Amino acid sequence: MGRLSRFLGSILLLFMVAAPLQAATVTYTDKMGRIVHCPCPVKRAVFFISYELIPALGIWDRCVGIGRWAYDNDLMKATRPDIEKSIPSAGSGSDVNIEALLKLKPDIVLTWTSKPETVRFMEEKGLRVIAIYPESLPELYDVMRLHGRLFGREKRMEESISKMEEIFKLIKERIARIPVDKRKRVLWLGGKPTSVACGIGVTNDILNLIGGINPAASIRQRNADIPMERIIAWNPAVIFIWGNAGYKTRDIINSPQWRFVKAVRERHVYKAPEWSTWSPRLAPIALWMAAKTYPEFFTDVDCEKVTDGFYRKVFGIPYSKVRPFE
Amino acid sequence: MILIIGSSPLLVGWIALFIGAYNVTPLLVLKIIASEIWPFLSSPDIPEKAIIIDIRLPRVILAGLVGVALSGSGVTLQGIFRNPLVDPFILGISAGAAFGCALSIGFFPNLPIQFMAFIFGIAAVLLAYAIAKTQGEISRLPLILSGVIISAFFTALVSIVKFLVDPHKLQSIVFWLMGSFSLADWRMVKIAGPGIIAGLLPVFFMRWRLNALSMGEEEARALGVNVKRERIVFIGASSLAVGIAVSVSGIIGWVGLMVPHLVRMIVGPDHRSLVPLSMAGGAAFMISADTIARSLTDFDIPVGIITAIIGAPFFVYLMRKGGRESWGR
Repeated sequence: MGRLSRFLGSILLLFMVAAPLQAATVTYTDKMGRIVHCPCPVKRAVFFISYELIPALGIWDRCVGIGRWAYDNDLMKATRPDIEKSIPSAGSGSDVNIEALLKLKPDIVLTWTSKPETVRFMEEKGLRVIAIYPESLPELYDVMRLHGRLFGREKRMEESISKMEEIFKLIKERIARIPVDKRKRVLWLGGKPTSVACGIGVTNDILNLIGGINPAASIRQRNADIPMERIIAWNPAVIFIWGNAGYKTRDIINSPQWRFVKAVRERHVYKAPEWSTWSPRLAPIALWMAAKTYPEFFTDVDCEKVTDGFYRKVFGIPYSKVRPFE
Repeated sequence: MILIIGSSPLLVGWIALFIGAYNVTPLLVLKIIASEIWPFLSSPDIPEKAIIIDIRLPRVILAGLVGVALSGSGVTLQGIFRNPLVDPFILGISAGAAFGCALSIGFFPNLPIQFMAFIFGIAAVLLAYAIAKTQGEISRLPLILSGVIISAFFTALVSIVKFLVDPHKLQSIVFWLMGSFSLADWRMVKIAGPGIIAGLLPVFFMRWRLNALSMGEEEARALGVNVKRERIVFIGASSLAVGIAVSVSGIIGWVGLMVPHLVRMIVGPDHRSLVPLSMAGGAAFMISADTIARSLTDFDIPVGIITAIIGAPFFVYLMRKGGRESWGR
């Protein structure tokens, strides 16, 4: 009897241990259409992309390697001041040092799809790789939730998403009050002034969310080089410049070519901060954009305060620790 | 024929003013241009005016100037080196300028790209020249070889910068290297105009000497030409023009090779007419290519892509058809 109960007990114990193990495999179809199975929670991960999710998930201890551009990232430096000394890099998503990467013994490598052959190469060397390239807000949420599952922090990720949704809701409520015929044309300029965000991508989704009309949305691409004449014909009322662009707001404002564009005439040209838009930080960026586009509807909103609250909740640091809005 | 080629830039440039993504009626274009020429015909300050006067006109002029510079120096260098396959980039200007651009975008954002591209473009030519000089008297083979070496060297430096900078800056460098007039404005015309003209004036006025130089060193000497000095003058002048052209437009290939070749086929190898007509043809070709680049699709295609797409097959055609006879040896 005793033996039987011990036997049954051990079987029960086995089930109790094995059941979560069995369940704990994440299966994900990535942006390249590859189906990846990954046991979780992941203990050792290399982030060539999506590293802004590390502080959001509180998983610095699981990050064994990071893309080399993370060392210049304000959020990384704010949440992990010793990042350059404590976390090695094995290159970036476009240039992987495969030996350095293998030495890190990662359970998973999170990278982007910019160089598919690199993804295949890493895979052939026995690494488990997920390739990411969110092209819309739902895809960004999907990627964030994937990270939640991989690191066993689903709840925390959902909290971040709900914080983002709170901001989006705040924006949408106000935008809903704006009559459709009062909606403004809003253009997002990229790496050079005539390279604009088109109809595919997170940026376009955000332009829609803030009640803007993206005149380039009919072009079904992420970005395109557009003749200056077309931009004048579109006549956007508000212009945002990508944070990483090499030119400044004043370059646009002072150019005689742009002088007939409404946004320039009325001085509604703004440069975004150098924050990733594939990150929870998309929400405060959207709020800032909405408030710049329709200031009259956001007079009662203290954007800095909301942003500060968001940073503290999601990343555990005050807004003052990162590069601020223009 | 000579008249047609000679006046082609004006004709093409005029037509290009009427073409573009923004709908401006031909009548309005004429009105706007007339009011610019005769101020008493004042026209209201409307967006169409900015389109014609601040966007299309400087772009057409800039494309023309760059075409003149590339084609003019192409024909000059081909004459000096007695080789129809030489182009203005052979001495390393493009690689040097590319490095200057990459440095500016990557590490010294406060130094203007144009300035850096120009400085390094000229530095590359001087280096190529200095290396060739180590071989004793400058002759054409060592100079071309050292140009190739310098190009390779600066291309490697560009790759280092591209590797070191983040993807955003990398994108800007790649854009620049593709060659485009999409950001052309009067400021650029003011930079490029005097420099290109200053560079090509000596070439224009000394063009008959190219006939002597292109006969070969011995013959030129026999005709009383100081080969060494004149080579330096011609190379220096065309490098200046190309350096400035590259600094405002990025790297646009094929024009300096293709246009002189085509003109040579039509008017023959006499540099007295070949040089000015190559310049005119280069301007007309570049304006046409750029007009295609900016109006063919919804996008602003980098003009370097257009010239290469037209240029490569065209060149194959030329080589098959009449390359040998036109060069005459």
